[in-house]
Amino acid sequence: MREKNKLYKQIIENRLTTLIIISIIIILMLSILKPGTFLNYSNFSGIFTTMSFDLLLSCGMTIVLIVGGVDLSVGAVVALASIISAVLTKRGMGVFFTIIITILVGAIVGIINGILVTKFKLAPFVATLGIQSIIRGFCYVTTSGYLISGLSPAFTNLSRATIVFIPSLVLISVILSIIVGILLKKMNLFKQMYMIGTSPKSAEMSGIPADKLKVFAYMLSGFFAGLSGVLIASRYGMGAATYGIGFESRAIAASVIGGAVMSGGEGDMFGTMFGVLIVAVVNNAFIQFGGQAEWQYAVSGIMLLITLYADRVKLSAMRRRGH
Amino acid sequence: MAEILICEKICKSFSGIEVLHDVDFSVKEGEIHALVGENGAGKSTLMNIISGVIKPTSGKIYKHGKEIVLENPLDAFKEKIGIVHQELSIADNLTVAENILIGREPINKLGFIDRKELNIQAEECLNIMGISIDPRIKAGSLSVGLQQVIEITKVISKNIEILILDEPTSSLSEKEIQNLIQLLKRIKEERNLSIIFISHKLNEVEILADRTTVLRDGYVIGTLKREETTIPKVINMMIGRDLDYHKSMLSKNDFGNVILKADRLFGKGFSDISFEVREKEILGVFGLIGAGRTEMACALFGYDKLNSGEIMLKGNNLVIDNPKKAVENGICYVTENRKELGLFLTKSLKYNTIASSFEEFNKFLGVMNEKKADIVAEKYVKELQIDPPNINQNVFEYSGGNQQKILISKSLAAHPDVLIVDEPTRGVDVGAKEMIHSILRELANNGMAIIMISSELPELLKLSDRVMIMHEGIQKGTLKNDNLTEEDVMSLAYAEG
Repeated sequence: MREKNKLYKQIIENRLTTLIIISIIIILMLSILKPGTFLNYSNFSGIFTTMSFDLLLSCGMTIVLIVGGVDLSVGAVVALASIISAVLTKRGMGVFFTIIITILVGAIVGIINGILVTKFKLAPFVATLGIQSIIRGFCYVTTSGYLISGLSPAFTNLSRATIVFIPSLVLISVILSIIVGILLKKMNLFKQMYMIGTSPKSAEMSGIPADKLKVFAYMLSGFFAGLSGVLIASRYGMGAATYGIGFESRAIAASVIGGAVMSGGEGDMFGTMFGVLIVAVVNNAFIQFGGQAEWQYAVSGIMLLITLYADRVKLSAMRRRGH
Repeated sequence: MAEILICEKICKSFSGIEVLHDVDFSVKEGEIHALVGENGAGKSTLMNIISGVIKPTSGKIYKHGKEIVLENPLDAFKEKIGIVHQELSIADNLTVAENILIGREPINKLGFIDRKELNIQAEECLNIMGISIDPRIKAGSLSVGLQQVIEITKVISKNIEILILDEPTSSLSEKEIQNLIQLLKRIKEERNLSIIFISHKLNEVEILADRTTVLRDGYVIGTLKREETTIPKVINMMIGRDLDYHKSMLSKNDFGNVILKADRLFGKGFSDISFEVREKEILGVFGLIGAGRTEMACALFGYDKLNSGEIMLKGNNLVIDNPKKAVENGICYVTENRKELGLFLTKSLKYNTIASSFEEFNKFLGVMNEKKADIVAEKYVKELQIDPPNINQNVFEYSGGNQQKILISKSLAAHPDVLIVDEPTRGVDVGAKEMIHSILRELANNGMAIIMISSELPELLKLSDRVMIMHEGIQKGTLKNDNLTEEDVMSLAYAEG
């Protein structure tokens, strides 16, 4: 009994090792069972593309989960950002300013989310769901359902270029994730965010600027969603109101698999990176075994529920130890 | 009197560490048996074994001379053993009757709850207890004291023979405690009930217990009969040395300048409060639960709203509208509610220690200076003798007394000029209590101004240079502590006008 407990504890505590092992097992399984369709360039390129967007959104999501919130608006912000950047590009704005303005819009949406949660004291779930609907609606209305295509090569090259054989999209998202991962571990600011998520009231009583930092966390989430939207428009050469549907559930699932908990105070970007990998590979596995691509939303939903259930079990185990 | 319950050579280990060693413990029919010991002595573990929550590693339990095996709390109830935990399980939005009969509500022919019958049965249970509460009102509207009584009624109404009470008085006011003591004495007589009573408050033990068993480090040190039980003797057995419990710790300081001055503070739960506190001074604030002390402190600290009034810090007017501002201006508040408003239970001791002073741990570009944080945490671990001295251990793994010390170090690390401590020794054992008292006195001697809120008079009289008395939100007066007695304070608290 004791030995078993010890092993269990070790596995839980070395989450990163566990995640790496799980990723390797799934990838090996797919490589052996579906060598033809899994192990080929176009499939890998597809996986890497979706992973890049997931990774960017997960950077923001992990931070928001750490302060004890959640951001359901990110998928809609991706669509909004894709449309804004497409329109700006078509109007002849340079790539640099297009990126800056679009990301700013994302960050502003994040700030609005943050204010709704802190000043208006709305539950994060409700506030960000409301914003999600508003933005998605706005996107459909402004585009009348049309795609905004015909973007300049200067803009589309942004995410199609390769640097030393690595697609720029992958490079950008991985580098940013690593930076976020390091900042989470090193920065004073983020350490305070962990405290806020652990006990919001204690944080306030300790003099930690809880509201400000929560708004900042949502702002970062909006920032990453905005960036992700620019890159998706660049990658597919158009802006569309339908981008990003269901992205938030993948980002939440990836973050929670990676070590974040819904009640806040925990989260690790390096764990989240493997969470993203696992979510992407499982999704791909489903397609490999004959599922339609459209099923991916359902698969993400199922994964989200499973991880949230695991989160619940983990939490009650923590509580039991706590009392 | 026959022995109703006998525990024989009970041992319990958690992950290889034995926390109870060959514990022999017995309860007689119709006796109140107090169980005392420091935090971590094994009282709760033993009670959890008797109430079926956990299983002993070895040892036997006999009831009426017959061996019983308790696999879970339900088994314990079948053996007529009931426990009332420290944290009540009252559902606020259910009525008193629903709470008492939860899970065994009477049902009418259609399968619905028979409300009329429910209220009648609940009333019967309450009558047996000798209390008159309308069973139809919501339990949430009752005071904590009455909720406690409802919980006890609920457990007793299951026809139990042994009642276990885990620190039943820790959140009750003095009057409620007296009522509870009377109630326990009466139901013991009337129902020949055996009661096991865990408490840190030794004066209650002295009044109430027929026998007292002292645990220390998982060993039974001894069981005292009623006539042998004195507080100094129990303390000696609990901590293994003598302790002059009531020794005064008043300073012989010349107080310095006035640091904090509050003028006519009004807010929710208190009105027209004025006071000042000087360097090197401990100002005691006495009041029973509901006196508005905590409300006043929270408003002063910026956590709650202050409706009107002026706060002067070192002669300067100051508006404090959030706790951050208070902390920045050198005012720290050590909450009475350490689990919810004070500590970060799943974070390490180190991060709890620096939670009020994060700004001081910047290296460059906002990088956290971990090394400095380690040094600060180590410093307070040493100064406050926090045990175990492991700065990376999560706070929930510490005992109540040590958690309280960690909470105090959080405030100290922010270098306050004014320290407000609210019930600094609640749920803390005698040894740690003594330690916290000397820490507070030393801080004052070194120049800090301390406001100590407490409902424990002996503690206030031992430490405070002056005592401000509050009652139902109103300031009744401030007394200088020249051989002040409990009677002086109480008579002022209840004085008319």
